[in-house]
Amino acid sequence: MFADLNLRKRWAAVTMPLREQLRRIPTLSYLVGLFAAVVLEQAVGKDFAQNVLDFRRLPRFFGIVDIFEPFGNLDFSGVLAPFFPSPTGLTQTPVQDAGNAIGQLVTDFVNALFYQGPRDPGFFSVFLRVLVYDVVVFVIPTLVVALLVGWLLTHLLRGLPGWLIVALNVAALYTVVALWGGDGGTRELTLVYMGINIMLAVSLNLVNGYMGEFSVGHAGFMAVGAYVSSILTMWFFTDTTIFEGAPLVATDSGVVLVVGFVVALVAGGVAAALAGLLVAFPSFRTRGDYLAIVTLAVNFIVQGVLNNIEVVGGARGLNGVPLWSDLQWVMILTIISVIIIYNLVNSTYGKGIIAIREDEIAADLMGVHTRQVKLVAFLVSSFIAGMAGGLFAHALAYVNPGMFGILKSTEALVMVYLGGMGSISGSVLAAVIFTLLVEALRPLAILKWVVIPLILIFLMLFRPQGLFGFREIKFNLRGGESAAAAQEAGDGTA
Amino acid sequence: MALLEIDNLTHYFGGLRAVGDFNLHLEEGELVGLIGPNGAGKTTVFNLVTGAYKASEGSIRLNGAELVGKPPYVINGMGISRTFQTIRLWNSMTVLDNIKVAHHGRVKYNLLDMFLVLPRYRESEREIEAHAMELLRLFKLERHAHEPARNLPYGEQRRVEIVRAMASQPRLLLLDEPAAGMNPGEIGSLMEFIHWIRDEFKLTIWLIEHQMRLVMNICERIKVLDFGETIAEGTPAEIQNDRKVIEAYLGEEVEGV
Repeated sequence: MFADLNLRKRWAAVTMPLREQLRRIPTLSYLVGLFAAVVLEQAVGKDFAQNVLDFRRLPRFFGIVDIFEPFGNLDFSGVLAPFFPSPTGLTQTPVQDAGNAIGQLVTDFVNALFYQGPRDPGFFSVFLRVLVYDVVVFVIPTLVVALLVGWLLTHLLRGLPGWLIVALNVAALYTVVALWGGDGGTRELTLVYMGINIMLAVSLNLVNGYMGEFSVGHAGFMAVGAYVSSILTMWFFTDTTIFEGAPLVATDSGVVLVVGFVVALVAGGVAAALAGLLVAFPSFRTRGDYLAIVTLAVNFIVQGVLNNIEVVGGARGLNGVPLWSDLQWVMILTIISVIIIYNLVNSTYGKGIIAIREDEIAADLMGVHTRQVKLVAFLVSSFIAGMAGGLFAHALAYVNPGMFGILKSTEALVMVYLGGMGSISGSVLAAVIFTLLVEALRPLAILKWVVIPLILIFLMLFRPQGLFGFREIKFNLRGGESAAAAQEAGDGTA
Repeated sequence: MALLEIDNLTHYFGGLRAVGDFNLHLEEGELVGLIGPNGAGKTTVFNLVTGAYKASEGSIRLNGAELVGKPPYVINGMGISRTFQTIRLWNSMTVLDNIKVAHHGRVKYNLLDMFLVLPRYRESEREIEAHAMELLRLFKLERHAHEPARNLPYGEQRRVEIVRAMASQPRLLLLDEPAAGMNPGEIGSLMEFIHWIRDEFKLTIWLIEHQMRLVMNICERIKVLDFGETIAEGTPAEIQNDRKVIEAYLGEEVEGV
């Protein structure tokens, strides 16, 4: 016990100068480092993975998707099936059969952990090799390059205006993600979902975290945006049997298509914002649990309406939505959404939203036009959800009302509470983690929906405020003294 | 013309007449007290004046402009600001943010300016921040500017509430039991503080208070409410010897005891 503590202390002491150095270099240097790592992966990653680490292919998403694959063979169906009638009739010995199935399951599980054949390594083997791959290809190159350019960047960034530094960081992030993820395959698709999830989480956080209401029907707004934008793009640009066959605008001109997509997405957002009025107006008179029920009702109303409009396919949905949501579109709109929400909640006007959460009556009496502020919060939130819905439809090429039910709303809620109320960076991080988790646990099939809620229960037990409740991740944009150190110094002089 | 004119103000909660036939004219620069036993309707009068409740009958005019029926934020913008009986700061926000949000009426940008951080937005935000910091400096609270409001000691929170009320540059300040929970020493400095605010900002102050020492010492005029009805009005000396007031506070004398 004590020896362990000592070791940790010694380790902390040894790495102290390095960690201090890492804290001092500007965020941009990490992005440059990441860029170098991505280039490295593209150059030698495949060779390294296949020849040195004996992977069959490039580890997917830093190997996260590969780790749980060994568990994909587990078959839980045998445990309960003997107790239910099957086409061959009820088995004579259900308890015994179930026992056998459990025994098999345990054996399979142990095999999955260690070894299940020459072509199927176990969990530990995959995990270790993924760790080696990530450290060698990503962590070490990123840190080394970051340290190398850190000093230089600190000097280059000195004297630049704040907005330019932010812009540089955003551009660097965009470049790295585009370079790493723009493969047109699963990587890109996962990143597309990730961006859409970020938009959903951040926009929902505006209402649930910053304003302190409890909206449980966010997917309803997403549905409105998805349908409106899909109808517009299909009607104008595609050969569809639903809307009178030939496209209204038959063009291959890139500019027209881009403008068309933007208009369709914005129209979807506006339509979703109008649907948001259905929640905003009741919010003037009621709040808390009662408003939560209103949001739930709006979600069901939207779904119900879509289910019953035959022109848009009813419950079957719309098929043949053009596949336009690529990584670029999603990234740009995600960045814009995050910036909009960030600027809103950091302005004096937007802080009125937080004042409403803290004490609405006081806000009203101290000059905050609470109705207008609530209206703005709901409109912005549902507008962004609508845009996310539009992107979602154009990423799947298909929408139906069933996608936008209470389950989707719950996913958005999970991300908000995982990341922490009233924290934009928390929501972004949570959306990233959640998307990866859904991908990583895909091999577990239906068991995924046992594991993810379990994670949520443990989170609520041990960290009820979420990862970053009411705090933001601090970025050391300018480099030099770390943010924490600077704050300490500031407190000392005050 | 008086700054604030309240005529025949009456308010019902259901069948209960919470305030009945309340009349008061406040002259510019006056310091007036409103006292009465618990439940007399004092805070209800403040809530009616600031627009939290809509008066059932009567009129309230500020410089001749009718206030009844206007929403609270408009009344706040017209120049009436207040503090609360129990502290109602926005707890998780910093002290500076508390003051800044109270500047809502002065926000001079639209949503687009804000989303794109255009010059108009930056200019307006700078102005608001400068004004908020200046207020905090005047009230010697600038060292707490970046602390969450809930971390401040009770007395300081009360001061922050007053600063927040000053943010909208009111002409009339309503203080609802400013001395609640304070010890005699603190009440002494509070009295000086209230005088200082009035002179420094050329304000009219109207306060509710149970601490007789404070009321009798600083108010120029006092109005006494009981069960929603005005039972006395006058200078502190007159109020102290008013039979009805003594009865309201201490109960009626019983014959033959």
